[in-house]
Amino acid sequence: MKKLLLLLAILPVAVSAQEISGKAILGGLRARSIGPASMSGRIADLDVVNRKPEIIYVGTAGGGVWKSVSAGASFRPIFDDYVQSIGKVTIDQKHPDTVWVGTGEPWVRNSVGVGAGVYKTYNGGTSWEFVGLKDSEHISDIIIHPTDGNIVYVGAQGKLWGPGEERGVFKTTDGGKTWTKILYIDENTGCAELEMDPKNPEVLYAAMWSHRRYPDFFDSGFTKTSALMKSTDGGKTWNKIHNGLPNKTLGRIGIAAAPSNPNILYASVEAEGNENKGLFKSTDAGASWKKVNSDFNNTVRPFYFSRVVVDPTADSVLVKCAFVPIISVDGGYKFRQIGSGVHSDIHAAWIDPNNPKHILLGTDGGVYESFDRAYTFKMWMNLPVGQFYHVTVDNERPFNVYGGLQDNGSWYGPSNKAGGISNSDWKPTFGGDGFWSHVHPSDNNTVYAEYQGGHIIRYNKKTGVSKDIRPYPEKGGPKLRANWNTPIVQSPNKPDRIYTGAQFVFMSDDRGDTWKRISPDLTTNDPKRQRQTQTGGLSIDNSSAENNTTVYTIAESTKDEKLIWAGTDDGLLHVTENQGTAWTNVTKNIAGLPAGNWCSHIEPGHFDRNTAYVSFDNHRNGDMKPYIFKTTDLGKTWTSITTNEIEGHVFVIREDLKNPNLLFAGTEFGLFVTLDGGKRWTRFENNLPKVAVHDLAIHPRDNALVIATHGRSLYIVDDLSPLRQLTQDVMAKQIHFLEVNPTELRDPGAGGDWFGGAGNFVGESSNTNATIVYFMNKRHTFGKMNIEVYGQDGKLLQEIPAGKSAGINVVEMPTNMKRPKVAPSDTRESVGGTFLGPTLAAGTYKVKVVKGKDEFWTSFTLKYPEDSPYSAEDRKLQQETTMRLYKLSEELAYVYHVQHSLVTQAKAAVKSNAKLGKSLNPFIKEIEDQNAKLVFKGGDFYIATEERMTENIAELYGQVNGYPGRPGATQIERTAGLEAEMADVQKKMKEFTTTKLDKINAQLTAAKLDPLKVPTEDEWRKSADSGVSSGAQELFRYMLFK
Amino acid sequence: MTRKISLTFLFAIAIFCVNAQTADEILAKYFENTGGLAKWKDVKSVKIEAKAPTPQGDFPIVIYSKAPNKTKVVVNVQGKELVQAAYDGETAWNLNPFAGGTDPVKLDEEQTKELREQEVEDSFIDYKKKGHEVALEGKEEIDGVQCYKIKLEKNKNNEKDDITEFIYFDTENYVPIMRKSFIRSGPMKGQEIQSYMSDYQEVDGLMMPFALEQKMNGNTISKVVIEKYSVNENIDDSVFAFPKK
Repeated sequence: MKKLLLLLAILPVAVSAQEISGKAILGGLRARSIGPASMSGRIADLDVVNRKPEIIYVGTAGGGVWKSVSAGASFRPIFDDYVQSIGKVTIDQKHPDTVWVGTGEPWVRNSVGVGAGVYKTYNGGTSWEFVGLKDSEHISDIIIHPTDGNIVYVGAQGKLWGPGEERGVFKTTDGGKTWTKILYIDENTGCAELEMDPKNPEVLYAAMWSHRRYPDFFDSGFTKTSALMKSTDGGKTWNKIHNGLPNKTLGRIGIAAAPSNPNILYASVEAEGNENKGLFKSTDAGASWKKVNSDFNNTVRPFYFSRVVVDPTADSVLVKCAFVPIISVDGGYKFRQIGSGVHSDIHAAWIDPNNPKHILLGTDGGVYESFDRAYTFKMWMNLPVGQFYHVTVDNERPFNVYGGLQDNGSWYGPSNKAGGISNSDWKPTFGGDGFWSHVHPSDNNTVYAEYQGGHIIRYNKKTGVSKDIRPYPEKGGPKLRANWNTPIVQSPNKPDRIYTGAQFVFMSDDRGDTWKRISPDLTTNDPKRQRQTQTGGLSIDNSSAENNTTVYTIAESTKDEKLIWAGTDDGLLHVTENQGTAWTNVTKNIAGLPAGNWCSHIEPGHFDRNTAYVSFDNHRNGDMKPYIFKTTDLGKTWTSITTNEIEGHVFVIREDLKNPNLLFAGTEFGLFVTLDGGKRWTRFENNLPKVAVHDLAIHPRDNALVIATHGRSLYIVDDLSPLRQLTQDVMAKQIHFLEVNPTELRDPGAGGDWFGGAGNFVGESSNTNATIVYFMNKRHTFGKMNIEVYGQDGKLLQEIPAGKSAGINVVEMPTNMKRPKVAPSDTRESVGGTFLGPTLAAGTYKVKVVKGKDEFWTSFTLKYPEDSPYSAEDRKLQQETTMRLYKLSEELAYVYHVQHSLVTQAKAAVKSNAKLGKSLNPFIKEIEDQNAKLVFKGGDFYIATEERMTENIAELYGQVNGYPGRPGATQIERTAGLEAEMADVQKKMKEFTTTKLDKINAQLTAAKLDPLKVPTEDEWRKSADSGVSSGAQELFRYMLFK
Repeated sequence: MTRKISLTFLFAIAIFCVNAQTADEILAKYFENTGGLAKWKDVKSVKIEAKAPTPQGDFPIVIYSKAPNKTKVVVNVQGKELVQAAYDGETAWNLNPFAGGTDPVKLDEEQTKELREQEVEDSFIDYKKKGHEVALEGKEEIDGVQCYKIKLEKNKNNEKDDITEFIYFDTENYVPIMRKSFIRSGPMKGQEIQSYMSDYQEVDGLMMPFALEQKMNGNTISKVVIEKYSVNENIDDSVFAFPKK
């Protein structure tokens, strides 16, 4: 012990030398996931434990891996600490707690994420280990040897945006410790799919694919080296198996062997010439091929859908993943389209080997399940894996959030709701792929939204009707080039003004009805970057995804409506100070900026007209580094404000609205925060996965940060104000209180789904408690630390445990007083009616933090909602009435306790001296009769119930306490009535405890027995406790851990 | 000058020592700094009186435990005793008057097994003999504190079910400040739970935490304030026994 004390004594010295980490500083702030899951998001792959089909792993395009152990009734994310773009999930069916995950989606659309290799869990996802192929970027396949789980084959599709040697087929024989590249063609040709012979694990098939993406072009077929290969010796040697395949350049191939018949293979083949594409079949294990079908869905967009899944029990039944899913039951000759409301764009399918009519599909809009061989499907509405591109907020209470998603349109929904934000709270405004969406600042019915390629609309929430408002080419002018993700930007100065971009900047002062071009072509106008009609390589794919040489981002200064910035997707940045009369290209002033970069976001300073922050994204050139620059002289000079603490290419940079040193950056691998203008950055982790963050919005009134993720829908950090106050001085202090928004006493509201079961996602609401926020420079580990909250009368209201961490601590203080003490009834009326204590009144509450011998004082403020319909006078009456009933409940509890105590003592006396029964028994009976009028005993907390005085008081207390406005006159009258009853009850108790008791006690004294004692109010208060908690469980677990 | 050199030298030694830590050395320091291994081995029973603050009021909790594996958790709700879990050496049981009557209920085999296999003695004491494995997995920052991350694989080398936990020891004073465990059954199986320990104070020569906080996905799910530890007080076996009618 002495040693320990000595150690404690020297600690302060050590602390002053140690700088507190960014992770600790942010620690107490938490992001809450608000969904939605209404539209879910893109699914890259899924796998199911064949013997236990209720255990399902879903690999998502940008939202990590989710696990269900309840056949999809509920899901849990299990891969949050790692890269969220998933390529392949493979269960070791022999040891189903072993699961391999390949990161980096293989469906390499323009907006695809980036992977970081292969991971493995041996405990069903509780923990993961990295096993290799870090630079592979996209993993298409993982196959585990059926009898030896240490032998695993991986298909590495490899880098998308450039050459890379970590691609091809890899094999490990020691569970991932070491890898051998067993099939490699060149640095441009990766493995798009692997297949193993279902009966002979030495026989392998590999679909090798040469492909490349550029900022403005996609090339499937690229170096003409795509091939379908076969090995019969576990990957040692490989041969092309092209007999019967088109003798042309090949592209992406999907390959599947029928599990019930290894000679039957299906291959979806992309080849040069539309007539050569289609579904091919082999009946001799690949020795020869024959084309069996070339329907649209067997040829369309091979890079996005190529997978074929064969029924494990029947070699002639197969599902082809496609634009619209199709199924064949005759060996691939004829196909039927799968309808029944399934989202288009299918990437993954699973057919239950024990019930092949049971089929799962993974689509651009979540997972669907069928039990009738793909006639009808139901959607799983509990996977919040939406890929938002942008997010904005309005000024309603609570504020709404607006945004657009990959292949899932544009939506808005509330930031908060009693009982949680459900799927049904979200409303769509437009279809297609959604990007920018925002509401008119003074007309909440008018919403702007768009679909890909600049199709802008103005939507009316009331009528549900939208109007197309895109600008058109000028007479004789050039065709407009609009980006896949075209900006629609609200002016911060003029409510009716919006901007959009093509190669020009357009401005409208009448909500989009009239457009004025306010710039010349601001792009390089390089014809080599305008190949969108030829994009796709072997299969033309002119979806507008490769539209380039466009204005991608526009921003009007909050300080000056004529000061406008514009950035392009071919690396240029311009600024005008006169609303477009003259533009200055400031790109060349940025030292260290690679050419051809996408200008991903411009953030004009909120504090200084000449300041701006600009992020650039160069990942489409194979460069994943972050680029963020700051200017304070309108672009003449620039400083890089990135550090190696930022991971991933940058989509967005935002400056805080109150503190110019507080900046937020969203990258491919998460949200990063700096408190010092960019000298030091820290990843924000608390409940936010390592997910791509594409946009951020700061709510000006509520100080909330809304995070648009590309794979996990939306998150909110509710109050940024603590971060705004952190300075070096503050962070050096032992303890420093941080001011926060006054807590709004939210009036109780109905909410939540009506017995919705587990199938629907419910987004988290914000905390309703008051918060006490402080910064500590060191964790509190030794000695007592707690918090005392004092009422407005100066009396101690509640003691609560303190936060102990170094950095920001957020301690929650419930805005209800403790519940009243209640006589020990066993009816639900009594327990339920008094379940909540009275709501604390608005005002300021003093707070004392006791840390060892030191005391620190602060306060918090509660306020009523500004738009509340209840007057101060009404609330006062409600509080007074509630407290009258609160007092009644406690008075009755005390009376009952005293009388019950007398009965117990009297019975004991009779037991020890039976002769006393003659005079004591009538006394006992009289009190028991009286108690029976006060409290109903013998209930079951549910249906076995009767009402007595306790129930009457509790019920009325609950009703008056539950409504924040004026109590009804009848309720007040009833309160007075119960008070009158209470006066009688107390009078009766007085008789029992004075005149009648004196007589009894005289007899007891004569009989040499102790007199009956009347418990004091203090004694009663100490003995009566109430509450519910899960704390015991934790304490219990703690004990058992010792 | 001499002084300067010697300080540098000492500093170098200190760094060297830190780097050379092994899991066993960390555990030895932990026992030494919290009262000594002999004293910990001497702990045969513990009674904990605590409260869990909730919006509905404080909830009094009493936990009894007695070597090797007897245990009982009692929560007082509105003057009624709720036995959350108890194990008397043979029978695991609970009693919840708010859910299904007033009779004690025997727990199923899975729950019984879980209770039976939990020992009162610190898992790190003679962990090898008990069949556990311990490994140092580097350092990690918890609550702004540099910690040694110790992986504890309980029952790895015996027939009982494996349980993996991570315990984080403050690198300055070797007391545990966080434990990471995983839900072991039900639909949340595998879900990570973090338990933070603080407010360490001396109880009969042993350092004990007086505050516990449990978090899941960054949310606090429970807080417990301990009011009193009674170490090696005689707890009669009848306290744990399955009540006979």
